[in-house]
Amino acid sequence: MKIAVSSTGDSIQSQIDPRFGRCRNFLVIEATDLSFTSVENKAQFEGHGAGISAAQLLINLGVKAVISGNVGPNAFQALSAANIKMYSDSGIVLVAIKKFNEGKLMQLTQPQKAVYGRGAGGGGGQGRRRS
Amino acid sequence: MKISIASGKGGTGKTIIATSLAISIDDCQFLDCDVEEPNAHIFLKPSFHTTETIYVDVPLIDHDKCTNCGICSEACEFNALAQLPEQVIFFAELCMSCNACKVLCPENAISMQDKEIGKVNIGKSMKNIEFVNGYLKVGSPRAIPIINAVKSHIDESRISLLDAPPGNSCPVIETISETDFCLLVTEPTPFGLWDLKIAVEVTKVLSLPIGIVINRYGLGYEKEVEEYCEKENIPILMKVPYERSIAEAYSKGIPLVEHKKDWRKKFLNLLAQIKNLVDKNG
Repeated sequence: MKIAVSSTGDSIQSQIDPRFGRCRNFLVIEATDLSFTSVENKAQFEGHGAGISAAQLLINLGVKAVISGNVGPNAFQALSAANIKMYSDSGIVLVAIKKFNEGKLMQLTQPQKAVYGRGAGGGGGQGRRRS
Repeated sequence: MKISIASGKGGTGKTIIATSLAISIDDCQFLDCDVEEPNAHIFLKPSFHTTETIYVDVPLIDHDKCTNCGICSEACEFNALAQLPEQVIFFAELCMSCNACKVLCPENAISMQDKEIGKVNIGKSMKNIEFVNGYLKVGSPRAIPIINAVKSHIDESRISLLDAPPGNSCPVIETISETDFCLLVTEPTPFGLWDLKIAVEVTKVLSLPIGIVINRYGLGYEKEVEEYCEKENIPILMKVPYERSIAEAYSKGIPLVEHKKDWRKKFLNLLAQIKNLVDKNG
């Protein structure tokens, strides 16, 4: 079973990136033997819809579960429609995978508030009083 | 003649200046292009006679015809479509109505349907002001089509005043583009000057003639604003003093020229200066 973890680096000892759509890398890990490949998250540079674009990347890779910090509403909708389960954790990727295998990770059943990184909001809002 | 009123920083007094200019001219159009937070109606108290509903095109996917080839989601520059193993899903709020999905679909499974994103109201204010404003529907992120719909009511034979939203982003650029003059309202504070400089850069790119109104004159940062204007060769056309009574009238929805009747002359003089600068610009 392939699991994708949003990661700040390309090693299994890297930290989980709390952002889903705009994380640096996805580590795509085989849960049974912990073999993995690191996939650059090209969606992180999108002006709009990074979460959906990242979800599309993982859907195309055929992953069955995702571990991240937060999954925003759009990515949540895309991943759940594709029957990909989502789990929330922080810390070291390898530790999270072990917890996953022991069934100790919290499954996300609803989207978190969207976390905006670079390119937030498509450049709108500058000088807007409320934001 | 189309005069846009912008500022960079929010809350510098665009609307107080724009509405008083409108009342002083009287025979003009007023277009409130701040469709996310329109407020000019509070001062001009129009009665509306027409309301238009504004729509944009979004794709409607015929799932019986769709073969899940993924061409549409691949083509979508805005990530509004995601191709799942057995279906395409659509995120309406990300769609920019470019039609690429419809054009590229090899199965003709995509047609376009209307999605309501807001309203435009048209009415009359004072003796002879044609008043137009737009409301972006809450939750819709696309202000531009509403601003365009407001601007579609411009009557080239009249003086049109376009009250821009705050900031220097797309909605402001859409509002001030293709106007004959951009009046920048600033306040003498470090924040006001900072954002004014960005607004000036925007008007340079758009090749718009500009002039400046310093509102709340007396706040303390006048020297810096005036030195900047002199260095950049930007005319300062009017100064409105920092006065408690003006703020009090404003808070009750009383336009500046009704609170201070003798200011009409100053606003008509402002218009004359603008006309001169527009003529000079040719």
